Amino acid sequence: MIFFPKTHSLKTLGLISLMGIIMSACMPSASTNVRTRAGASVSASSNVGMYQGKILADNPIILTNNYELSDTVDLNRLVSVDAITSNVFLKGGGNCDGLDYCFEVRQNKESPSPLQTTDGKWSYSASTPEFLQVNTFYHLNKISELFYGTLDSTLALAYSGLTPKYDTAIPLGLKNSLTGKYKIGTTPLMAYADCDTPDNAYFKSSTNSLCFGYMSAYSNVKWAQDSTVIYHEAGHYFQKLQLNFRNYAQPVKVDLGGMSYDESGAIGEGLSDYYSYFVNGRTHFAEWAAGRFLNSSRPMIESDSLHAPGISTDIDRHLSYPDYLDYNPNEADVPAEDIHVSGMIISHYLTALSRDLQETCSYTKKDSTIVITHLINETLAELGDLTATGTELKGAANKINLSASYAKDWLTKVNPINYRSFMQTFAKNLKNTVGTPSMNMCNGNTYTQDQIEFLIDSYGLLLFRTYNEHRNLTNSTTLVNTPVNALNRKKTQLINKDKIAIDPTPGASVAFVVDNRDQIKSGVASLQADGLVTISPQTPSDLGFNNGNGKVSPGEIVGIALNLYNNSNTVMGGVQVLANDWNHTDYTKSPAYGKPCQFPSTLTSDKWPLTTEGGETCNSVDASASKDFTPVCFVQSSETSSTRWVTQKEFKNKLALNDSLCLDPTNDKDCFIRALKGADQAYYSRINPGQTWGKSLADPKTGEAPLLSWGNLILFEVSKHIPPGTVIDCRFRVRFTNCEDCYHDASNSNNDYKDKDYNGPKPFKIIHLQIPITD
Amino acid sequence: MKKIWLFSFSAILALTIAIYRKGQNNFNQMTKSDSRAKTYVKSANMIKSTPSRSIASADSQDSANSTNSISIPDNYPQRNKRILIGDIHKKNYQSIDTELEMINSINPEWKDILGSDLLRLQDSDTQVSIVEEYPVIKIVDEKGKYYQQVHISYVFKNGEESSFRALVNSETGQVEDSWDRVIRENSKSHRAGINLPVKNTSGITAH
Repeated sequence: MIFFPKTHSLKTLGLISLMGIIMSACMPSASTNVRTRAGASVSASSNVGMYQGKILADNPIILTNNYELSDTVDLNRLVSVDAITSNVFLKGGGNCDGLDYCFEVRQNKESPSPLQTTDGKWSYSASTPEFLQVNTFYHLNKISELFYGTLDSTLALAYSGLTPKYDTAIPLGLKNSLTGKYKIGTTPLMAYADCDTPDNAYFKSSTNSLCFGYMSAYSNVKWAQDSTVIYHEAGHYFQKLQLNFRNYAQPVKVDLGGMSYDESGAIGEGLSDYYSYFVNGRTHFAEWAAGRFLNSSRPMIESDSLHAPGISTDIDRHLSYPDYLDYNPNEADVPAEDIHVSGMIISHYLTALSRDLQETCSYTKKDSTIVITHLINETLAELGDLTATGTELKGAANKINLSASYAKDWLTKVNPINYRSFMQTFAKNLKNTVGTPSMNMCNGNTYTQDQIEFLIDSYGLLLFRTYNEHRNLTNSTTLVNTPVNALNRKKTQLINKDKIAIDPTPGASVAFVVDNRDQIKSGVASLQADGLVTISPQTPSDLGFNNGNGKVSPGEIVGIALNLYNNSNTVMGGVQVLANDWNHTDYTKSPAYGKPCQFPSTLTSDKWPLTTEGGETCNSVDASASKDFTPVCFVQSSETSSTRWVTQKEFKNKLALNDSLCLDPTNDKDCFIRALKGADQAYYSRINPGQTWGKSLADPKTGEAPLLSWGNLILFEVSKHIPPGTVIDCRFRVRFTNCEDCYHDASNSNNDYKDKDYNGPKPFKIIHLQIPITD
Repeated sequence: MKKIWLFSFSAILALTIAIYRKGQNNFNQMTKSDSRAKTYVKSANMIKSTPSRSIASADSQDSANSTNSISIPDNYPQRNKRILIGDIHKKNYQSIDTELEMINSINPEWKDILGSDLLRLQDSDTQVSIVEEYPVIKIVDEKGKYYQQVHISYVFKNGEESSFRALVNSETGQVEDSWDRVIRENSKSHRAGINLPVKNTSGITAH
């Protein structure tokens, strides 16, 4: 019998054995030293000088001009020599405050350190992992220098000494005045050039790391061989910095986009494609890694041969919103609800703006991209502000994203970044800088407001009525937002919110319920792994109450998709259904269970519920505390002579249910049914006129409806204690991006709604679902 | 030759210890690498229910938080060695002389509750690591709420990974806010493919 010592002794022994392994590995052994194995050593370095190395200056398709290039091509024939670094390791960038370097490159996650040079040269055979690391470093360094150089330009443009020259969103405090470096965080960017991930490349925000994988069907092909992919993925990292420029003094940050389809995610992809153009000036992304082998490269100009017929650089044939939201140039016949293809509208607009600025302001291409990146700096910094201040001159407490307490909720669902908010803020910054003659940024010429609006409109993105310089405007007499010239809105079409509805077709489904146990378990697990949902301890881990009968039953978690219909003559884009808590319950009457609000017609056409059915008149949607935000669902209560709609709290009291049996024992407001936070909104990219979403995205060849993604469903958790037969009324708020009355108010000089207006019903179409609880 | 002997001996010893320890922990278990990090693994016979949510008394709060071991950057506003976030400018909350009512307490088991919650719907052999980053107080409605900022990373049975940062309620151990998710270039492989149901049989009506 072997004697096993106590834990601490085990640890000691384990340590000794580990040391043994390490020591044995450290013993000199020429045959196992990775740096001496064939192919990995510095090869043919006679043409390579000190601190230089071999790289692929662009991706292999471009270097050969062969779009049918074989995966077995000898890349050594395509390499060139350029400066890499004088550092001993592949570490670079000196602009990051508190860090010795801004980024480093390793082979993969198992690599204990970055690649090291022993002779000051970085020359490796193109088939080696070392080459991938050097190539990644070279291009990462290139985009990094451009990015931080542009940030220097941004500060120089925005400030004269300590005084802002215009209403900039870039805080001076972002740069440490003593070190001259930027406060971008506490960890450098890490790039894994030979990542063990098939058919993918990604940016892992929580570790600030980039991963460049390989093609599973073509083992020689690696994502890091394609410089445009390196620029694109690094672009996601830079967007994270840009979006959080104003959040540098707090640890909590915000992302651009969620887990599934949404417009902020699409904008993020479009901007990342643009970052490739920013570096190389070319209007196509990933011809080698994504295009040649996965059929998923993306153009950034309408004249690209990959585009479908009918798309061109003619002003009226641009890739416009919302018609082209689901257009995939690699498979133009089949609609694709995917952020990567939707983002092409932004990338095409930005490269068109680059050409426009070159023409009007006599910029070089490089100058135009620097100015555009400056505008992205400003736009994302303002929109992503979790301190709720926004800008330096006109900004103030609670000026954007409601308040510092609720800014995250506003940014992720209540008033998120979409094509409208992004373009409105971008246009304001363009007007404040290049469009302002006194800024002298157009080489003696003027880039006029009409020019700004003309180009934006050609992309269907003139979705705003004013430039909203004064966010949350309270006095429209003394402060006036610059109106958009209505004559410039030729292509962009805005639709009244009442045109979104439940499918009116006789016999059509009102909503779809997904309650299959395996599907829901998989979905919740997937959302949870992205940090999005937490379920009640009351719900069993095996989701044993989920019976897959297509109905809503006690104890289940169900996904619900509204069967929405576009009752207008124009395509709707960015349809969003909100099931998060909002201000629609009155607590002023005693007992303080709360009563469902009946709002006046000045706020909404929703008359539900009548006062005889339990409603209470609510004239204000001001919210002074979190208690003012209440769940979307009410419960029908049968009384002796009538039925009333009551809050879940009142219903719980009526059933004499103990608080501890609520879904959340610390919150009896949603005791019986709740939309899972993180899955309490649904997004649909586009709905065609006179159609539902399912019809709009159906495969035209087969007629098959699109598959639902988790972003199309709102997840509800139902208490096992709710009596079968109970009827629930959930009051959803619905809107879309090209909406006439969801963001600005015609009765108030077309000024944008204030943040607090989004507490209530006014900017939304209200749609109720009445849900019977069925055993 | 010496090298081979040393390597073999060490490897056998390490393997034996690993097997023994695995035998001891054949259900959901955690390994503790340092005071701030814990890793939880879901095994086939994991206990299905989450741990009870025992609430720490106010007296235990000091011992429950690990603020002493975590260094907070100077540029973050702080109170009692916890980072302040939220509506922090209405009063001088950094001063302990400013009264601040706390609406939750600190449960010393928050991390274990979180680890269990994060795994209970995952497949067997899923591993989740929780690394404490900062203790936090969020000011909402002029009251304070204790949170822990953590870094959470999953490793799934097929080798895929996912990670994010989160604010975790220090009392309930539940994630209440998250960010820093992974952005993938080829997102098709991560899409849920659910057929749009042909017909609504739920009895749901709209108005």
